[in-house]
Order: sequence, then structure tokens, then C-alpha cells
Amino acid sequence: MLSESIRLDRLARQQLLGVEPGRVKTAYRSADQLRLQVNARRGGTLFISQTYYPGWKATVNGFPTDLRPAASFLTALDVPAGKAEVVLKYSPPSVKIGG
Amino acid sequence: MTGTILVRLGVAAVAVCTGFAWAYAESLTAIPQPLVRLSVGLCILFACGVGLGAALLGWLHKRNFRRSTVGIHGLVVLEVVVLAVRLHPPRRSSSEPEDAPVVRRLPAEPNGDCRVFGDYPLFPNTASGVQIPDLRILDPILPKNLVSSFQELAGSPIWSRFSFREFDDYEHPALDFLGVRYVVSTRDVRNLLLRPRPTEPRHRLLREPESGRGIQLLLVEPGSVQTFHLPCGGGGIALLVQLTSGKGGILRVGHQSRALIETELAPGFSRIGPYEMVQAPPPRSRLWLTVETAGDAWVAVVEADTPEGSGLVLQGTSGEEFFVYERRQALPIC
Repeated sequence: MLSESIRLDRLARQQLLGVEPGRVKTAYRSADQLRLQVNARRGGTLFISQTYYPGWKATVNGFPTDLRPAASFLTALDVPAGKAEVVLKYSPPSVKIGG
Repeated sequence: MTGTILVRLGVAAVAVCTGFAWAYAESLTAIPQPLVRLSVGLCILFACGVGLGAALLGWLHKRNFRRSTVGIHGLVVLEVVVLAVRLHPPRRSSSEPEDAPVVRRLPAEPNGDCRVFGDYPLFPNTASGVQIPDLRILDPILPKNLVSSFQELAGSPIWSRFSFREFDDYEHPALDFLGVRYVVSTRDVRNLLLRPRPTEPRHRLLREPESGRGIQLLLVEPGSVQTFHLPCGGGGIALLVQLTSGKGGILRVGHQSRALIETELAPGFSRIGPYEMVQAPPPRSRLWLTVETAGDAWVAVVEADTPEGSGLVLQGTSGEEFFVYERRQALPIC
């Protein structure tokens, strides 16, 4: 698992030089939801070129998964091998209670 | 009597609820509307307001309060509503940042969304994925982390979260990773981009600055600079400068590399001079004149009263010109 301390440039080089990056297709995107179809030969880390912010929640194939910051300001999560549907939803408690 | 009080208090309760709901809804306008619609909090607030109004109504009715007491209550309620609205004023369109014209002019992107990166002020907007269109409203999404990461990339300090000075490595893979397809620069950075590579050039120049056509600054920092050239007879000089920007500026007049006059400009009209040049430039030479402002949109009308240019009017369009490059290796934003 990659940690937060990984720098952006190293992250980018890994991404570009990655041996098996897998395929990601954006099925749906809105301001508070992102649905991705992922197809990877091996399990690994999915980096999303989007600002990390607490309050986003993720599910992989319907099961809750932890999101974590990558390169300190981007979003990452673990995905399994094979096809998977990743759903990110912005649903912090503060919005629910009207904050 | 009772019916009148009931009606008045009912109106007051509705006014309280509406006022608070309006005030809170205004404060939530930056949040996407679907989230506002789903807000349970607003519903709870409304219900509490109605319940409070009903309770107050029953209590007053039970106590058989006088009209004056009810009137005072109504006045207090009105004040609360007014205060709530004043504390949460509606957003004014003038306070919203305008779109950057150079970004708007970019060609339609056939391969999905992309990001723009620029010299000085323009970071890649990593919040674009959540449909926040402008970096200047990044406050709620941890801009400090983004800035510190780019500081590491640049290897030099960053003035502020909007001021990036210069970034020379436009071929950095991190920009590919971030989906940066366009680079906007005040400099001709082709020498930086055309490194020897085995494959075809990975960039192409989309737009070069064109004389006479200005593009508004992308952001307000740094201020815009406009330079004119004036004929000068070698004697004195008098200028009339108009800044339509709401902010002031600095005017400099010089010859070759030396500034002869440097003075502050206030918004509106400023009369400069007449100045007698101590070390006057030779006849038929040209002075340069620079107007520098802190704002991003201004027009300067300069009337120079010089021996050879009496009544000369120079009109500057706002902002600087930019080079725009397309980076072909950018990854699509997912």
C-alpha cells in the first residue's frame, strides 16, 4: 500500500511507467458522486486525480472501502483484481444535518 | 381578539421560519444543489421554527397577553429575521470570479476533460472533478496540501496559494498524471519544451501573443502591466492618465533602461507633471511609459503633452498576452 508520504512526482512516474495499470472507465460523474468501472489483472491501488477531502465515501462492488490521500492532496483506494465497480460519494455528516 | 393574535403570531412564525431558511439556504449556495435539496438539517430547522411558533402561540393564548406584549414579540421576531438575513447576505454577482477568457477560448477537448496549468497564478484545478470550476474557491478542499506538493515539484518557494512565480519543467510526468493538457505562460517556453526526444514533439503551440489584442489576466496576481512608447522633444512632459480599474497603480516613464518618473496613480483621472527632464533624452527619441495596476481589468488612456506628441492618446487594453501550449501526453481525468 502506498503511503501519504509518496511525492507527487514519484507517484506520477509510477503511474506512467506502471507495468499493469489496468483500465478505468468513468461511468458517471457529478459533483457529489463518481462511478468507475475498473478492470485490473492484479489487485492494486487506484489513484483518482481529484482532491482528497474527508467526507467522501467509497464502495468497491458494493462493499465499503477506505479512501486515503495520495501525494497529500489526491485520492486513492485499493481495488481487487478483475472487474470492479467503484463508487465514490460525497456524504459527510455535516451535509446531512445541514451544516 | 384571540383570532387576531393567532393570525399575527402565525404570520410571525412563518416569517421566522422563512427568514432562517432563506439565510441558511444562501449560505449553502456554494454547495451543489442536490446536496441542499437532500439536507435534513433545513427540514429540521423548518420544523423547529414551526413548532416554536406554535408553542409560543399556545403560551401567549393561555396567558391572555395584551396586544402591546404581542406587538413587542412581533417586533423582536422581525428584528431576528432582519438580522439573520443581514448576517447571510445573498451572494453578489460582482464578488464571483469571472471565467478566464484564455481558458474559455481553448478548443473543445475531444478526449474528455482536461486541466490547465500556467505560469504565476494558475495551479491545475484538482477540484474540477467535483465540479468546482475555479481554483480561487478552493478554500474548502485543502489547498495547503496542493501548494506544498507543487512547491516540492518546483523546488522553490511559492509566494501564496495563488502565486507560483515560474515553473520550468512543463514536461514533468506529474502534470501528465494530473491531466494537464494546456499550459498558459507569459513566456515563450518552447526552448524548455523542445528537449531532444526520440518521438515526435509532445507539445504544440496553440496560440502566440498577437499585437494589439490583449487577454485578460487569468487571476488578479500579479497586476497587469502595459507599456507604451511616446515621442519626446527633449523638454518636459505632462500626462493625463485614466484608470478605469477600481484599484490604483504605478506609472513609470523612462528612457532606455532608466526610469525618469515614477509616481502612483489613483483610480480615475491622474494628472502627471508637467515635468522638466533634468537629463532630457535627445530630440526625436522615444520614451517608454509603463502603467502597472493591481487589478486585472483596466483601460488606461494616456494623453501626453510633449513637444512632438501634444494631445496624443494611447489606449491600453487590459492584461498581458499569453502563450498557450497543448501537452499531448496528458492523461484523461477520470
